[in-house]
Amino acid sequence: MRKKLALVLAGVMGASLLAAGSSVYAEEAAADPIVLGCSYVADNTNPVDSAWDLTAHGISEGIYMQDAEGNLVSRFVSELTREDDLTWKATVTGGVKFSDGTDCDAAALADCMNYLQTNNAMTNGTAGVVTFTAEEDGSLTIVTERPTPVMSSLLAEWCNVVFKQDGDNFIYTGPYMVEKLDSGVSLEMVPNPYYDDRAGDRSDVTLKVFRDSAAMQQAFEGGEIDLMFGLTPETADILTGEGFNVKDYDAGYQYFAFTNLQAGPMSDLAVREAINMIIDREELTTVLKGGRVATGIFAGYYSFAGDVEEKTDLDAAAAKLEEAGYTKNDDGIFEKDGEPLSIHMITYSARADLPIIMQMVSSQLTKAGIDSTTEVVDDIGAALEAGEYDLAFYAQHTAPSGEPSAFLNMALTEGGSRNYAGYHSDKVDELLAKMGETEPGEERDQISKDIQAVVAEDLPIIYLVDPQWHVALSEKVADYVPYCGDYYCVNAELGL
Amino acid sequence: MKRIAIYLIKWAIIFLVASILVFTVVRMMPSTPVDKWLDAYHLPHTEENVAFMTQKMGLDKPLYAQYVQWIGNFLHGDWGVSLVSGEDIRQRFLDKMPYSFSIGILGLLIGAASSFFLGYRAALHRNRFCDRLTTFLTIFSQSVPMFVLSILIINAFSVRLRIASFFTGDGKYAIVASILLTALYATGGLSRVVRSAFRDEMSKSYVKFMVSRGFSRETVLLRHAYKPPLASLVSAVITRFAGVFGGSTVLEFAFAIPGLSTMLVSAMDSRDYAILQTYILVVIIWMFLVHLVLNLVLHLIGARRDA
Amino acid sequence: MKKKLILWAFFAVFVLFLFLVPHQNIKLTDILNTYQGCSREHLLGTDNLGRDLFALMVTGGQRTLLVVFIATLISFIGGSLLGMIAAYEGGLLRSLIQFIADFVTVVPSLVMALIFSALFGFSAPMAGVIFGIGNIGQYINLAEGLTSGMKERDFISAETSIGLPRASILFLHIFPNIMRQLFVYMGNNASSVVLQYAGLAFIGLGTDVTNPDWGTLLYQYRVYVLTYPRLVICPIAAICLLALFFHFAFDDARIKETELTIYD
Repeated sequence: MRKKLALVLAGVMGASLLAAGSSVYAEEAAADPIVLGCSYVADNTNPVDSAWDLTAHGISEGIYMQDAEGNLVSRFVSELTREDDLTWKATVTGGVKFSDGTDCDAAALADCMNYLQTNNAMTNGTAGVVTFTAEEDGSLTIVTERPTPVMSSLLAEWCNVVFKQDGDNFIYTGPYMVEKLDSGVSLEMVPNPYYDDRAGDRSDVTLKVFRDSAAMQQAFEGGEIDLMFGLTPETADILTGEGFNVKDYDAGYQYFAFTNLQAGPMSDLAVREAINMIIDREELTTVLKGGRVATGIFAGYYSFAGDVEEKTDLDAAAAKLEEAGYTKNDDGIFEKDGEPLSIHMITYSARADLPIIMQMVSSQLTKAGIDSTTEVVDDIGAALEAGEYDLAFYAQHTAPSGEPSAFLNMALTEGGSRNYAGYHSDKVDELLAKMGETEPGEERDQISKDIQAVVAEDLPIIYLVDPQWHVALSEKVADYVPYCGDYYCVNAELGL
Repeated sequence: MKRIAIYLIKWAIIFLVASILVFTVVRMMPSTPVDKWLDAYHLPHTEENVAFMTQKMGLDKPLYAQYVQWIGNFLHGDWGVSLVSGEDIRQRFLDKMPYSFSIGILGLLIGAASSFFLGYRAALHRNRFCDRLTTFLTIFSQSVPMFVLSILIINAFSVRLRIASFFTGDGKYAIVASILLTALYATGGLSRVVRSAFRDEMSKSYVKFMVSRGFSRETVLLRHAYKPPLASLVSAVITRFAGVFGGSTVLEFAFAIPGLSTMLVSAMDSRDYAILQTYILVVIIWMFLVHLVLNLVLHLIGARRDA
Repeated sequence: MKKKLILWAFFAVFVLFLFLVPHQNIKLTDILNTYQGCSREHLLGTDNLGRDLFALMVTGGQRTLLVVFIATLISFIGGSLLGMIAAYEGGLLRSLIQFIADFVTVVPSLVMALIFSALFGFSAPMAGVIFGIGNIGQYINLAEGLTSGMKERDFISAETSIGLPRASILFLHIFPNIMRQLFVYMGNNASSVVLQYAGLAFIGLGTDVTNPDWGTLLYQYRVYVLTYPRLVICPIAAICLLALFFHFAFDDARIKETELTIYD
């Protein structure tokens, strides 16, 4: 009796669970937004906290933004002229509207930029406090505290987004606007009717957060999401094999490795040079299923990208090591004074390509007679600060504002936040100082190339891969091409 | 009365000591929320940037002042706001709790019900199907990871059959699947507990006596010997209830369910002190509640365990 | 008894095998020969980077055993000791130990792992310590309950009254009597550490495949469960063997003649 009762109970429970599920399913089938699978959504819609995320979602815009070729373009400003060292004049194009339909004129631009200058110290980084004044003729006067030759990239910095405050709400100008934000879970957006004349053709977009790429892959295969960002090379391979539409696009991010100049075997330039020659970058791009051998520290599409040629040459590498006093022991491992040459490599797991690169390099070093230990660390920043590495694999968007000097200063000057190994070179300092006074153009690009060439000789950074990332697309969005890595995930072309 | 007073005082002390410990430990971690925030946006760690963010997050005040403010507000029901996003933490907990708790609690209850049945059958018929099944489930839940099984489930129902969508909609299927998986993985261990408790009873003389008097074997076990096994099961289940916080981590990731663990992991990534320390305090309160319920239930079914 | 001996002998051979068998260097990749099936050169085939799965399984096995060994040692010894002391001494000490047991049970191992690794760095032995501490609560509760039961028995109170030292009562008289049930619990739970460890990979801990264990391999290869199931089945089979060994070496599934009840 009891047994039967239990069985019946179990049956009823199961049925009701499923019934609950299926009723939900039926309701949802009607709505038809484009669903994007990504690894995060903005925490809130406040421009001080979430400017980067909001721009990535297609909600906010900078006064200047990068186009697919890495050029800075603006919907707001038609001309930018330097009047003296500290003063700039911006001619406002006009015609751009906020998503509530109000005009985004010079006064509105000045308001939001000044608000950010006072409320977000990050905006003072490049040129001190910048003051914006709307003139009567509809133009914008910009006065900086310190001189900068690159006003357009200052205006393209991620923290300078155009917005309007309306009570507790923030209103932006991007192609989409927020419908419902569930922080860390999902973001529902609708087209901004005032963005351009194609607004009516855009459909609703939902961003859905996945923390497990395997789950995201299943969701894509099951047709639940239309666009899957952050595909690992393996997943890209599997999906391509199953006949799905997988595209590669330039990441903007660069993969490189910091060398430890302070201690350990890598403090010897000869060892750095040898390892630089052992690394087979072609093999890395094969494994990553895309990307190019790096020619410097910036993505190839930038005019200021480097033109260094890295070649794999095992014999030259072995000769270098022998010159530096290393000899091969009986196990085929290079050693010096009885100490085998062993490189401690670290990286982190957030960027899935990096552990793969580390494994490949480890294998390449092993084959070339160099021992290595590897570690995927939880906190890469702390490990780098502590100097607990010989070679640290890293990924960064090196020109998010379309300009080289920010990253180069960060990585190559003393006290720079990415100069973990305390690199110093008079030549680089001199070139950087010159760059700080040169306006964008061929001369500035050449300085950037020169600096990257010096780095390729001193090797505080080993260039690895100018990567391409993979995105899987359903038929609904088959023609969409994202660009600039994870910065502009959603751009105005989505779904058109 | 006195016992209740001592019980409450004990927990108050635990709460206070733990809060100080937690407050200190989260601040001992090598990277600060400021570092993490700057890293997240690829910003240089210049002195101005660090000072600005430290002040913005309210971490520039003396430590004891921060502690007093936090614990004072907490006791008044104000759990503070996230250092990173500025969201109200209590609201966030209330939003996330239903997911983790329904998976954990419903899963365990279903698991417990089926383990009682399975354990009983396993004890009754030694080395027969149910007995073997409990062993199989125990081994299975230790060697086949949930995250592989979840991929197979999603693939079967969503990709191949197309009868369930786990990630879009309001995600009921994901919850149902998680509950059933939790139940499945709990059943192995729990049914062994029930089985061994029943076997203990079976060797007792009153059972022998009743069976030889002609009562049916099933009746004796279910009607007269059920209490100790039930008590063992309840103890085991309630101990596992304690683990409802964080117990569903893998499932939350595998089915993209926005539960407490997901929230905790992102708070850890950004070293959000405010969320981390509040989380652990809430865990302690939950532990207190579980204890209370355990003692009450055991009291009701007539087995005792002092605490 | 004989069966158990054979089981232990098998286990010993297995462990020796893991530590002694020659295998390819796990660091070596071979991008021209990825996803190869089983062959003479690659007994279990190769993975997505062309690494030898057999070598990964063998090295992974060493690491897995280390983690399981450390974790089990900590929770078994620490748990039974604390549990016995709690039950025997009672009073404040008992409350304190019970609080520790409850606390480590309730604080998710995930949180412990995150905080421990932030403070001390993450490594396989560290994972063993974390899970050892995380699982100690169950052992404490079990040992405590069993000891409380024992304390009421006549011979223990007699020994207490004639003034035998506590240590000798605990270790010589109580422990042997509760040992069996503790071992049963251990046999059924020891290998769960492997999957707990694998679960950490979701939060970014222990994801380094150049330092593999079976759990990490499972995590890494989970995306291939449908395309190259061999990569997933191998670690599962290995963990399963380990779990089976623990189960049959310690559980009393085979009930002794003397314990047969009226039902058998």
